[in-house]
Amino acid sequence: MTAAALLILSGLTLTAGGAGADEHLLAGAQRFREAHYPEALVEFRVAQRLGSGEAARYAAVTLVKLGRPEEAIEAFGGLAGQEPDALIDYHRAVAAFDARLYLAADRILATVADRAGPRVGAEAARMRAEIAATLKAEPAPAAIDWYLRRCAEQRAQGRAILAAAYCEEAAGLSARRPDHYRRAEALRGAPAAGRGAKP
Amino acid sequence: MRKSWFYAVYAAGLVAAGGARAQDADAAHKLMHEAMHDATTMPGHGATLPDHTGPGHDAMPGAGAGMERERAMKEGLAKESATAATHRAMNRGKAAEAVDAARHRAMHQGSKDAAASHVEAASRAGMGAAMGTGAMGAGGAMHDAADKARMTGMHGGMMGGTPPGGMMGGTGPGGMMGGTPPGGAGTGTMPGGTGTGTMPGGTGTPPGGTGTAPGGTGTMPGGTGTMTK
Repeated sequence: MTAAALLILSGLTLTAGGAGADEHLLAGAQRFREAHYPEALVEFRVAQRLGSGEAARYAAVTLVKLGRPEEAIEAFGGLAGQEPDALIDYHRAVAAFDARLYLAADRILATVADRAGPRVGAEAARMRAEIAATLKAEPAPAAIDWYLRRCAEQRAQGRAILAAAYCEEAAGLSARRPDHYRRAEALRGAPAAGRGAKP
Repeated sequence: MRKSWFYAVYAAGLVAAGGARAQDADAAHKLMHEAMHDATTMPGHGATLPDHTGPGHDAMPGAGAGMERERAMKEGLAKESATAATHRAMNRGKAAEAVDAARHRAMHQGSKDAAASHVEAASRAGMGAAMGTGAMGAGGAMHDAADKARMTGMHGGMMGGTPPGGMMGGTGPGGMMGGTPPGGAGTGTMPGGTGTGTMPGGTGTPPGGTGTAPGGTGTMPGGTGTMTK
């Protein structure tokens, strides 16, 4: 009888825990829908801690809406690879764009157009056009210096995902110059290219 | 017989709970997908490569005063955000931006729902601090505090930030902390907290907080905290 009681208790505990995560996930989605992003973020983070697998991505999207692109990039787990959901990837690209990681944003957006609906696809195309116009000219050494400085700053703070993203951007921009200004240094700083690096 | 009945009820409960959970998760995904789609907008700023590296250049693209003002407008944030933007711009010697931000602050006087704006302002304040001083921003701490409060069954809970200060409100009995100058003000539907920063404490609608130096002002109706030195 005691064993049965323990079984019941543990079952109820597990059930309550899982239900809690999903309740917070739903509450977060509702807050997000209402554009109450700070509250949505809290709900998603709680859901994440309670074991929801999707909550991290939703928290990342919410951070994008809150104008915190660097935190969003970390929450997405970096800028490499591709998300199964084009909408998530679109917001990942916006995070990159807001952090001035234009090459990364463009690479992500290139995969969005074919997977998203017409509205998101059109937005992606417009962003890509803007990035293309910005990157038309040869990047100045000062710009590459800026990205490398950000890379070093982030690394010093232990933010490996961001450090890799900035160094990778620097390397990409450097490749657009005939002199490959500080390219080797940039490549050394971007071994993991973002995703997979420990935050 | 009695035991079988008990297990049957228990099993049914588990199945029902599992079903409800699946429904919640499913509803969340559908709702979120729809919301993300509707919330899809291009960034409200152009793409520009950073072209100088000297001090004063925005350390964090997109977090500059001008950007912040834009977002404050777009997201309908209350005046705190615009105020922060103004101060930031002034601190950075960008007079034009400061004036612009001040104008928008005036536009937003009286607008908006308190708690969300305050939380947002706090997070922005944290970002500002990171920009200005390289110090740890307060946004993360804020959310950690809020998360912790939620996890422990409490509500509210917030934080202040390093300059230009943060603020917050809570929806229930919760705590809040002030920050280093100029500290934060809290408003909410329940009690404010106490300030623990080196400058102003917080204020709350019902009972305000306390701080170690004079500081923040509440932007919504509500009490001001007692300040202690």
